[in-house]
Formats: sequence, C-alpha cells, structure tokens
Amino acid sequence: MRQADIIGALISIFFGVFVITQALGLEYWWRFGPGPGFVPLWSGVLILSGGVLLFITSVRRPPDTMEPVNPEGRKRLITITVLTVLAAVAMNYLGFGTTMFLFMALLVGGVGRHRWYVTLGSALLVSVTFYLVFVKWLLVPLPKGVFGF
Amino acid sequence: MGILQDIVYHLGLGFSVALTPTNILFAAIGVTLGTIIGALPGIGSVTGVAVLLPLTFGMDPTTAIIMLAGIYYGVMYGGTISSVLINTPGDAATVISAIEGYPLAKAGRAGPTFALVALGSFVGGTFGVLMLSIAAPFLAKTALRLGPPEYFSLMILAMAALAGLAGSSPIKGIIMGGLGIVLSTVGVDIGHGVLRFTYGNVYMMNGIDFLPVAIGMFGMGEVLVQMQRLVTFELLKTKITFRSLLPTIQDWIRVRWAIVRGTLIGFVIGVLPGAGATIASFLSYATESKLSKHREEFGKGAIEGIVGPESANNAASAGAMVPMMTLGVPGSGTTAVLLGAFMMFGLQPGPLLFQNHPEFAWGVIASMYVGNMMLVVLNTIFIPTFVSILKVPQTILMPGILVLTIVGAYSLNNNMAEVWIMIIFGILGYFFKRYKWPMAPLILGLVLGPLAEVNFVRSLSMSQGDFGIFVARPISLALLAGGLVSIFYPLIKQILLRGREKLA
Repeated sequence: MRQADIIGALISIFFGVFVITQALGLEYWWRFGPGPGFVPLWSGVLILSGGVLLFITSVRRPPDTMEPVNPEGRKRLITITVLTVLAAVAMNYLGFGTTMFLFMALLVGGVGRHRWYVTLGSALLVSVTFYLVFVKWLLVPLPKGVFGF
Repeated sequence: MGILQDIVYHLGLGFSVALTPTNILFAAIGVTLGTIIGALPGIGSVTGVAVLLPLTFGMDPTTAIIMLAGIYYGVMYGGTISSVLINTPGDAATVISAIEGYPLAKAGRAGPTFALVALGSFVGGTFGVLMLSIAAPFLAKTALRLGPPEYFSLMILAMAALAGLAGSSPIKGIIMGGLGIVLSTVGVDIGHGVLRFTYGNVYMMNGIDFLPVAIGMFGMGEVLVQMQRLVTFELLKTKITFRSLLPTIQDWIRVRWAIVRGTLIGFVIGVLPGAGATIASFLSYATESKLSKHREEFGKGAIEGIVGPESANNAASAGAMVPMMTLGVPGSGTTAVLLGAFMMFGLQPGPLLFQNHPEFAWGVIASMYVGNMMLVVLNTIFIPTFVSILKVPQTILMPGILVLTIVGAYSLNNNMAEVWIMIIFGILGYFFKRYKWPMAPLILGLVLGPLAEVNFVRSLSMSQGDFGIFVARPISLALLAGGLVSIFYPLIKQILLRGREKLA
C-alpha cells in the first residue's frame, strides 16, 4: 500500500501542476470578483498540496505488503477490460444486440468457463432482455449494425 | 395553518400521488430491485442506483425518483440477507450485520433473525421518514433565508465532511474532491460565459456529465474488482419456513430497546453530512455491545447486535434524504447520485423544491412509507426467493451488470461518447477501489462544483471582492468551522489519543 500511495501521490502532484498551468491561462480575477480561472486554479492547488502531503506521509511510513493480485485474477481483469473496449468499438458495426450477445458469451464462456449451454443461454437471455427493455420499451436508438439489431 | 395541519395536509397530497397504481407498481419494483442489489455481495446502493438510473429515462419524474429511492432504502434491507447467510456483506452498511448474523444463522436461527431485522428496519425506516416529513418543511423554510455565502459554505462543509469521514485517508478524500471540482469546470462556464478546458473538442463543450462517471466508477469499476477477486461464496443451507420466522419472547425482550436506540442513532447520523448509514450501523453496534445484558454473547450471535445496527442503517438512509431534499446538499455517494437524478429530470433539490413542486417532493416522501411496508413483507416471507438469486454465479451476474453499464451509459444521450467516458472511469474506478481512494468525494465535487462556484462568485460580487463575507455572516462561519473540524477530525483524534497516552 505504501508504494501504491507514493505512486498515487506523484500522479496527484503531476496532475495538480497540470491543472494549475492550465488554469493560469484563464483570467483569475474579473472586475467584480473571481474570474473563470479562480476555481480551477485553487482546485489545482488543493490537488497539488494533497499530493505533496500524501507523498510525505507515505514515504515516512514503514514498507508494507498488499494483498497480491493472483495471476489468474490479473488475466481476468485485462481480458474483461479489453473485451469491454472491443465491444464499445464493435457496437457501431455489429449492432447492439449482436455485440452484447457475443460479449456475454465470451465473458461467461471464456472468462467464467461455464458449460456451452449455460453460456449460450445466459448470453441469449441478457441480450434479448436488454434489447426488449431498451430498444422496444424505452425506445433508445441503439446502434443497429449490419444485421439490423 | 398550524404545523400539524400543515404536515397532515402535505402528507395527504403526497399519498394521493404515491398511491396511484403506477407509482405503487414502481415503488414495488424499486424496493424489490433494492433488496436484490442489497443481497448481491459487492454490489451496494451507489452501484445499484447509478447502474439502474438509465432505466428511468422517459418516465414521469415522480415515478422515476420513487423507484430510485426505493432501490436506495431497499438495499438496506437486502444487504442483511448475504451478511447473515454467506458471511459477506451485501452493502457497506451491513458489514457489521455479519458479525452477529452469521453465527445466528449457523445456530439455525436465521428465521427469527430475519423477522426481527425486518421489524427493526421497518421501525427505523418509518421513523426516519416520519422525521423527514416533520423536519423537511421546517428546514426548507429556514433554508429560503440562506444567501449565496451560506450556500457556498454549506457545500464546502458537505465536501469536507465526506472527504474527512468517509474514507480511510482524509488526504486522499481531499484530492478526490479537488479532482471532482476540476472535472466539473470542464465546458461552458455559466457564470462567466467562457469555455474552459475544452481543447477545441466539441463534446467537451457540454462538460463532463456526472452520470457516465458514476456508472463507470461504481458500476464497471465494481465489476472489475469483483471479477478480479472472484471468490466463491458458501451459502449456508437453512430452510426458512413461515413458522421458523417466529421469534421467541426472549428475543423480543432483547431487541426492543436496541431497535429504539438504533433508530435514534441512525436518524441523527443520517442527517449529518459525511456520516451516513455505514457509520450509523457501527455506532449502534458499539452502543449495543456496551449496554447489552448479554455482552458475553457478542461475536457469537447476539441478536440485539444485528437488529440495532439494521434499524440504524434504515433510519439513516431516510435521514440522509433530509439535507439532500431540503438543502440540495447530499452527504454520501448514493444521495449524490440521487441528487444527480433529480437534476436530470430538471428538478433542483433545495428549499424551492417543496414550494414549486410539492406534489413531487411529498409524493416521494409518502412513497417511502409505502415502500417500507412492502419491504417488510419482501424480507420475511419472500426471503427464500432472494436466496435463490444468490445462487447465480458471479461469473454470469457480473458480465450482465457490465452489459447494463454499457447500455446505460449509451442511453444517457444516445451517444458513444458517454460509453467511452464510462469505460475510462470504470478502469480508474478499479484502481481507486483497489488502492483505497474514496470515490464519493469525487462524485460530490462533480455534482456540487458548478453550484458551489456560482454561489462563490455571487457572494464575492455582493461583497465587492471581500472574502470576509464568508466569516462575517454567523451561519456561514459556523458551517465553515464545521467543515474544518470534520476534515481535521482524524488528525484531532490522533492528537487527543496521544495526549491521553502520555497522561496515562
């Protein structure tokens, strides 16, 4: 946790400085009060000083260990994230229904390692239910894609 | 009109709205979904409200909020089920329930535990709503007299309290709050009429909406956390029949004051900014473990140690609606998301809500009485039904929720841009959760940021640029002092503890 906090603190410091430099490009004070740059500037200062404080307190803490991520878990995490991004890209081409069917099938069958009929069943159930609720009932114009659903 | 008549009149108005067939139906759907979400381990009230919010688009605003509020307080009931039966809390507010609940279930006493918890929750929830009905019009009337400096200070208090009390590290809370405010400044600056941080991007001109951020952090982020860990739950096999629900006379005697104390603690803590249902349940547990006549049974299945905290978290969830509805200032992540839902429907919470939309404000309040009654039935007779939902493996449930977050984010504006924002904050949310960066201050900063800025600018134009206006007005000063105390509270506590050690 200590190491993670130090990295988090450094990111905060970096981000705080970034916000401050960006906010300096906006007017700080107008004739009758704070300008558009006032709030962003001070939020940046808040983030920066928080980052500095966190850095100091974490560095002074004794080293510790965190519950490690098991390799299996890491693999699942990356697979799910990549699949989600791919699904968002594919939705415009394949359509919402088809994409979500494939997405569910890959997650349940591939990541969850369920039997083929459980995979197929849950993928069908989820994609059809969401299709009915969002497209038919709530009339959300979800991407149709080449197959028309 | 006298105060009592006033309340009776308004509640009458509220019930005439809440008791229409549509609103009864959606209150029932809300509390049922709430119970299910509560029962699912890892998925709590913030996630539930954020992920299911898109379902309410196109609904009548009153019906929509009745359903969303139902999800919120329904979670407080449902969370008990997984705490008792699988020793894993379904929501942060029911963490404490596993300590006494699981041993009770192992001893074959799950039935009476559920029955008494449902009763305590009902008393806590109903008392909370009753107090909300009494306090809301009062507070709303007082709040009408507050000016921009008071509002600004109030929002600072809310954010400071959440940053200081909600997470494990107040420093991280402050950084997250600052991050939320910065994100809220992206887009058109209403107060000044200029563009900020848009970098020529057309989408950024509309600003970063808090909803895809909330759905990402609390929905997708939570799914990632759960799927990475992927623990299998051992469901305790107990048969819950109607007869097994009946508590013994001794149980009744043991829990009656725990319910009363839990209810009072819960409501007060719920109203306070930053605290909320989780802290209320911990406080009630601490109280019961000190006052009980069966102290030796604590940790081994003392029924008052679960019924008290459960009454408290329900009273707190109703209490948390008080500042959110009357002042427009939420005190927790879930109420911040609810506030966002209000705004999405064009209803600005705050004192004017009760004046301009009384049928809405009172309709929602009245629906909470109805919903609590439904929840008692759901969480006693229908417990076996909810238990069967716990048998659905995480590896099927979590992908389903992921699909819901994608569809939900898309349907906010019928646009892929929101889906991308959702995914980015989903990935960030995973890291926030894993490395214990509290996300509620970020959401609160994002929701309250623009309002706080408008009131800040207005205050300073009132005083012609003099910052003294925030401390010269007594209410504003008191609110700011409260904010300072709550942010430094962990530090103050440490110093006091050290001082005591030195004395000893």
